[in-house]
Amino acid sequence: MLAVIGLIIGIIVGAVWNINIPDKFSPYISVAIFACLDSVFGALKASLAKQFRVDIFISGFFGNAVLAAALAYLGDKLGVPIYLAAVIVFGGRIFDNFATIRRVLIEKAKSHQ
Amino acid sequence: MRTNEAHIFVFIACIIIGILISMNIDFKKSGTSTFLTANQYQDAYSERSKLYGEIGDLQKQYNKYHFKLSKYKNSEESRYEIISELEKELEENKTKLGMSDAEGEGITLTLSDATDEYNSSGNETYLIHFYDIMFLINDLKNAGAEAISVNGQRVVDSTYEYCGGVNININGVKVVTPFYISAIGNKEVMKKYMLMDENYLKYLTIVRKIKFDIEIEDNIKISSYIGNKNYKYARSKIKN
Repeated sequence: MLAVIGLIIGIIVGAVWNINIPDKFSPYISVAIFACLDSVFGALKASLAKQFRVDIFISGFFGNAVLAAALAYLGDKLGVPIYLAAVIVFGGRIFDNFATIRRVLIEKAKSHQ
Repeated sequence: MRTNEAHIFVFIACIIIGILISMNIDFKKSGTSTFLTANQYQDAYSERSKLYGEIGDLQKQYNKYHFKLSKYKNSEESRYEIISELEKELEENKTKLGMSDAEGEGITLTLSDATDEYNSSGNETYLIHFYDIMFLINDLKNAGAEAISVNGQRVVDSTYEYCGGVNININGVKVVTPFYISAIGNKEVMKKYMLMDENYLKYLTIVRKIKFDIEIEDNIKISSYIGNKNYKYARSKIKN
């Protein structure tokens, strides 16, 4: 819940701030956003399993973002769409984590009743 | 405490992601693309190249006139130079209109009636008619002739011909057979063009048995159009 609220606040702040990333960096930032989303979902799953670790989260958040952007840039220069690897992996992990979160939440909801 | 910590960090991370997303989204409608079939693409491509060519030509013309205008504005001996420039331009225009003598390489076409066949059959198709001259002039223009004259009469845009019985009336002047048609232009191209099987000369000479002779010459002199044009009805619309 808090995550969604945070996302909305962030979007509003970004819209008001009105800074635009130069167009040539846009695809790299897109992959970085995807990596960040994956980190957030991982953090949510870890928090539900009481295994959240701040240092892992922060290092994962920024590290994955930078690595994804770097790989996308390298792929651009080499002419190989390496960013696809990042997209597939992060997408897979997001859906995995989301599935785990779903099960845990539904279990909780059932056990509360 | 763990979960609270997690929630705080997740919250902050989500804010950052939101900021990045809204910074990255481009709301400008940057060129909607449409789908074209292969044919449409070819057409569009060739039209684009044509337009680029036109732009180039117009640019060249613009440069030429701009240069001329600056010459007029900046020349030291202003009066004299401007007058000589204008005179040169006037001469060029006159040549194109047919109002001044012209000379250059070209061909001379000589045509005469098929008198023997006419005498034996009385059929008028063996005589040269005014429309034959018109068709031949048309062919010559198609072949790139720049100046044409028929028996000394310069062919200009207002040239007309009609049948005067035993003669042909061109521009008000009666001319008779034999007809000497001179044309200034690319001599080889014009000769080849006139002798092509699909063109009028072949039909004239083979079917109607008109006698002809075609000669290439290196220097043909064609005199100017004699007469004046007084336009009583057509008025020019000057663009400002």
